[in-house]
Amino acid sequence: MNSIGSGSVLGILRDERFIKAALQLAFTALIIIAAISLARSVDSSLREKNLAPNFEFWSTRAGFSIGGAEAYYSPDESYWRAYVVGVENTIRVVILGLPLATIVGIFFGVCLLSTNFLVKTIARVYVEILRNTPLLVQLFACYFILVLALPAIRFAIEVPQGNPLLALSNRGLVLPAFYATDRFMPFAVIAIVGLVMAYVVQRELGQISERTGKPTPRLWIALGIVVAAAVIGWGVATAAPAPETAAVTNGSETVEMPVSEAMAQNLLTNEQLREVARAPFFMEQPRRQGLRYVAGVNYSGEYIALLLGLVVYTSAFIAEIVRAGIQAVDKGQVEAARALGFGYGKTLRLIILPQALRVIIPPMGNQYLNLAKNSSLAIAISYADLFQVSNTIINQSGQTVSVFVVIMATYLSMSLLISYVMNTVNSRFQLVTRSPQKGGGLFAIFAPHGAIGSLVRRLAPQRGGS
Amino acid sequence: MVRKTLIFVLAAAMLMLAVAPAAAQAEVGPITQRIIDRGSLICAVNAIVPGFGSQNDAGEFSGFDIDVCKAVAAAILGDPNAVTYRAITAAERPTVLASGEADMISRNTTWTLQRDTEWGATFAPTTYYDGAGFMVKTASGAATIEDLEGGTICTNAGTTTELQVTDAFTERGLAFNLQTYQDFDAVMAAFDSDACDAVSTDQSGLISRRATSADPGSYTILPIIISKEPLGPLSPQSDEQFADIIRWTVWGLITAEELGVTSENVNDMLASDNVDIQRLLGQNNNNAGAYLGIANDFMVTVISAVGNYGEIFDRHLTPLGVERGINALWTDGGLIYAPPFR
Amino acid sequence: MAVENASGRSVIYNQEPARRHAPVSSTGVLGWIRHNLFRTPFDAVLTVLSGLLIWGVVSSLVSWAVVDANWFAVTRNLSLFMLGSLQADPASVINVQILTLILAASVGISLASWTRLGLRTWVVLALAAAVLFVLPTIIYSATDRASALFSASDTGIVSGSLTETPLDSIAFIAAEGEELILQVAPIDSDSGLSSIAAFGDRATDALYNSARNRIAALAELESIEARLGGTSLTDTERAALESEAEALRTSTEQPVSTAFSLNSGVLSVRIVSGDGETVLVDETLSAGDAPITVTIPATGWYILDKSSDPAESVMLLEAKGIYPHTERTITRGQVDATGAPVLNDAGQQQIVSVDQFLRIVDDLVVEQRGPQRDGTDVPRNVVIDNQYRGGRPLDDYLRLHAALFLERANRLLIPLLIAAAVGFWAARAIDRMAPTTPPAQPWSRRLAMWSWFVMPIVIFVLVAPTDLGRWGGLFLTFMLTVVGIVASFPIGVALALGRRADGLPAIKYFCVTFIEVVRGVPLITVLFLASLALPLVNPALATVPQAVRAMVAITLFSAAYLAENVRGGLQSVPPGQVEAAKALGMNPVQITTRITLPQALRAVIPALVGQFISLFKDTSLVAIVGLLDLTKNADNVVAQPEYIGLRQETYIFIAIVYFVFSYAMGYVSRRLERSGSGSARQTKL
Repeated sequence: MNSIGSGSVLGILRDERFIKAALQLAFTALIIIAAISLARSVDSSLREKNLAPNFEFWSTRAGFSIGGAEAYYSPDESYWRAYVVGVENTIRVVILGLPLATIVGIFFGVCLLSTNFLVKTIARVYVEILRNTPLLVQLFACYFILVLALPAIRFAIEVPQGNPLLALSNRGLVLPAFYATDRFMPFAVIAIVGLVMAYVVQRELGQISERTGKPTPRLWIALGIVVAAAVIGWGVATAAPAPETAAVTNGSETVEMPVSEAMAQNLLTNEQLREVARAPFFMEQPRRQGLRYVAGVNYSGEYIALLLGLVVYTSAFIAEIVRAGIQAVDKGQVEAARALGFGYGKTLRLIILPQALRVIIPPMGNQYLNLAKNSSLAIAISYADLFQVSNTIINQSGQTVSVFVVIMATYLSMSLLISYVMNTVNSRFQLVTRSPQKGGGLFAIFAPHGAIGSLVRRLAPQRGGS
Repeated sequence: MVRKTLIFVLAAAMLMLAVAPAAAQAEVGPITQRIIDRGSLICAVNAIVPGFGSQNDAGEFSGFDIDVCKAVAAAILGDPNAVTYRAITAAERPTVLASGEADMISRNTTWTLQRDTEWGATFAPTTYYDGAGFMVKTASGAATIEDLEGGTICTNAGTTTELQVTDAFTERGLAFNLQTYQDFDAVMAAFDSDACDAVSTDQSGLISRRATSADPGSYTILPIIISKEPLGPLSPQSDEQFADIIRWTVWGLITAEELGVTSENVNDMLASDNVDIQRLLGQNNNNAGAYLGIANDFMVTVISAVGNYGEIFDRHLTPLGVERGINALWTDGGLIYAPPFR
Repeated sequence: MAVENASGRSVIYNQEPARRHAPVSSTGVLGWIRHNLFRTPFDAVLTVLSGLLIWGVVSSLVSWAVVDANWFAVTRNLSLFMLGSLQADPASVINVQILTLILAASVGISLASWTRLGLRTWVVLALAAAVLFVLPTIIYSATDRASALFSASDTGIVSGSLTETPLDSIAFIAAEGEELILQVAPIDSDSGLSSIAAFGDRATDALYNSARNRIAALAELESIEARLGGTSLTDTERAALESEAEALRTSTEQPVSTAFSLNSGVLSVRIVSGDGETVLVDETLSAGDAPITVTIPATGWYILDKSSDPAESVMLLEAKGIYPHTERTITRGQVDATGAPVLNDAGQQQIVSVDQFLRIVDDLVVEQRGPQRDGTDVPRNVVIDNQYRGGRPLDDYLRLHAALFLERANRLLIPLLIAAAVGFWAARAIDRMAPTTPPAQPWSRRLAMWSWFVMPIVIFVLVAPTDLGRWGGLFLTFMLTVVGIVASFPIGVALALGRRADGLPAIKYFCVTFIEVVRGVPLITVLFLASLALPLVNPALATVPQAVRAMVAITLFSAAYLAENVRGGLQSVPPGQVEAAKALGMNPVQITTRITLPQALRAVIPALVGQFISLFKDTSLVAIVGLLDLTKNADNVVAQPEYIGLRQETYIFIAIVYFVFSYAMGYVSRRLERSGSGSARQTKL
């Protein structure tokens, strides 16, 4: 403590604790005053211009349509519903993009370390070009050059031709859709039981092999259990008898037709199929109708371009991270593994990757955050993600401030969620060391091991260069 | 006391004499004053629409809407080059006038009820009557909207065209798939690769795209117009006098074409006997600019700087293949009409 | 003498055996190939597949670039890409040029003090520069000029939904002393028409398109007839195919060349000067005649009159030397006859608008008005109406695009190279004249470090007088990056220190919240917020230029990321350092500035440089808020009527520019990384 004579006013003023408290008080007051005056002036200037910020406009009729969402959204719905559609679209991109980017990134990361000169060079060129050009330009390239180079819908690539299971054109990719029938429940129950059993068995076998030192083919056994459960479930589900005939509308008349004939001629509606099919689920094939494909699941060209662009861009960074991580593993480990007779695959899987993952995961978390945030560039290639829809809402309604508040809240929650997951994963891989030096993170405020403390700790993204 | 009254009367007379000429010259509004003080006009424009507003390789802005800005600058400041251009995006239009960042917007903006009321702006007279239409590939053989049922229509995002295409199809009960893009190049690229069955935007855009493409014959513009798009400049609602200046500058350009005054012969026309021309050019004791608070013969400066309406049209839109059509003078069967300059 | 063992082999030698070379197959080039490309059979397969992939991608890229791409959009807009609207202000342009020279000199000084480049490298660079400098001249002399095709007839040429009638007269610009070569184009069939590779006016385009469409229609007819020959068609399908085939047959009955009696008549050609006074040539030509040569007496406008006899037959004139031009209006300061500036009432130089006509294939500029006849303008040979059609042969590519681009690039790059060389050799000379003994830094290194520290001030001084509203192109990107880096540095360090301030929870909370919120949202939302919402905060802020708003957004965004990087560095400083400093009696401020920060910053330099590279690329996002930076200029260029739709060319050029700068910065970063920590043995799989 640093005071001149306890009790004197000067003493209090020079007390370290007093200085700190006063400083913080002043700082907080400053921030609060600034925030309030900011809010006031924004509010008043908006009111002046007849653009008073309010949140009621969210229920106004939107009046614009969203490409690719005709099945579940019409222009008569509210702005809020349009925004929710946009958020769904963004999530669709991010959920597929993160695992794909990881896989492609790991692939190219391993290629970067190959001994084959050509493979190494191709990977290096790939990584350097993608890391050194702006994502905006790459997205344009993906869209204009790649997607539009696919054939037009009249000449779509259909596999197999004529009665397609899969159709690829520059309007997008159409895949068959799978729907559950009434018999899905028994099958699902048995399959889930099988999965759980497989997991338990696999864990048990793993512990046995740890104890005795003998390797067990636990993955194969687990797989076998899952397959057996699926087969049993299928058998149980299809065992029940199915109706023989169904009322089918052929042309303009309704006749009773045997089910197998009706299925062959594609005359059953989805409702009927749900009832009469013997299998737990049925497949809906894409069908060409005029200028587009109906039925089946349609992934639009813009979606593919955005996904491709984001995956490829992020994978270049992940490749570098993987390379750095693998190279951070001491070479002595590889030499020891070789001395023990491990082959290439075993070395990678059992020795290198577990140690490399410790270094790889924090920067990888950063890249996942980047992918989620970069999805906002969909605005450049007209994919109706949440930012593009919000832009349209701002244009139509003029309510800049409230829309932006909502946008930023959405992105923040997405980022915090991803950070939380990555930090949980990371903490399982980190070496347990002496707790970090005082002054790091938010430990000092909340109890280091309290619930709030660990929750907050998980929300703060790890440090780690990108 | 008589001397006092005399002095008082003399002083009053002198005061009135001093004020009288000023009364003949109108006051300028706050925005006009701001422009004069600043010495330049800030015009919010588009940099990426061929023919209406684009940037040439010397970095200078040129286009139909740009010439309107130059005309207003010539009218107020006497110098058509005293303009600072600001390229803005569509999202900034509602706020850029209200916040004072620009004095006027000349950015091929459609005049609608909502914009007239909610943007805090006044629309100047329409300089270009346009309408949204469709363009298809000739090979597809489509000739009506019904032929496009179930197809993909591509257009710009965030424009009135988007809403109008939706309305046109839904009121006919036709299914369709709308794809919007940030700019028309993306639309045309998708169209060229047959990712779209038809594109929709203003007729002027469709015509200029077709005219400048590699194979114009492979595109057909359908003879359907699904909307009215009267395009024109805007100015802030807070200064009615500034709005008047813009209004009468535009009408002056139209009147000049009616009367045959061009940038070449405007100096000769100063000596004309035609009363209408004298009124337009503020000659022979006629008040023109004086009513607006600017130079009386402001139209002389304007016309010698940018020419008349027809010259502006020919300079920017005719090379792109756009014809006068409904933008011809009312005497030629079009909609371009100006109230009298008197 | 050798000692032998039981089986008769020498085992002990008393003199060295003769040297033998290692097997050829394991050394040198062959050995390298075997080791790196064909080590295992799987490797060999990979090599073959990769080779095919590389060949496919590279060859299609090269063929697109040479044959199909229209690079005029890039070459003629280079100054727009570099400077944006700033070009219009010559004083600002000079400032920017001085700035780039100073930067190049600094780079030269840095190279001198931090690398071991020597005379050899510079000789190679000088040679390369000399080759690039001379290359355009070589290309111009080695290749033949491109041709331009003009149609002459009275009939309308139909192509799809378009009917195009050839013009009777066309006005063009030419330079003094040039030679025009005119002849009837040696084309008389559809295949000849569809393989045109020259500038063509609208009527020629219509001929070209209808010939190509006919050939495509004939191919489709063939495929339909092949399908009709099959047996697995239903009746409806067969009927549909047959009606399609019938329609195709009628539309392709007559070849285009016979429909218009192509080149079967007589072409009359007349070239007069713009004012109509001088007639340069007035002759008739038929197919197969020898070409006519015309020499241009003076730079300016000329009119080409052409007609065919009989009037229905279409004659194609092939001309070398008549090229299209672009038209633009620029403003510049007015000068009188002696070159002195003309002042306006306010005492500043009067600005006038000037109409310019620029020929697209070289730098010819004409400022006279286009010629008129009977009071109306003669149609001019503008690029909009007269594009290059067809697959370009290598000659035309080299001459029209490669040489033109090299000429303009040389004007930019060679002064930079000279400035860098001057800086380099000056630094070396200083070192030689005033050597220092270690551990003192050599003078060149001190000079290099000072030059970079002082650079922000130099930039500010040179750039402040320019008009912020006019910044555009690469210059704007550069300024956004520099300001972003310089301004975000103190803010980021402050945030990082604030985040670690345990005793001041209010400040710590604020810093944490700020950092997490800014890092959790995309940069594009922050940019939008700054550009749209800033004027709403305070009406006085409405006059703040867009560029400054973008700088604010970028600075705040970058500061948050920088704070995280610096935090990592702060955490890496051993606690013993702080304890020792406290033991020495230093107060917290001294500890932070003299002990903690220097070590922390040094530890995270690679991460910082990586972040700055990302910042440089992220400035491309300002294109979405309307700022005319390098990426947005691609949109501007394709809005110019002459270059509508040429997005691929402009985007590839921009990508290359970004790549060059990012890769250079990344190279610097990797060298810093390598010099910092000792490099461990690299793990190889």
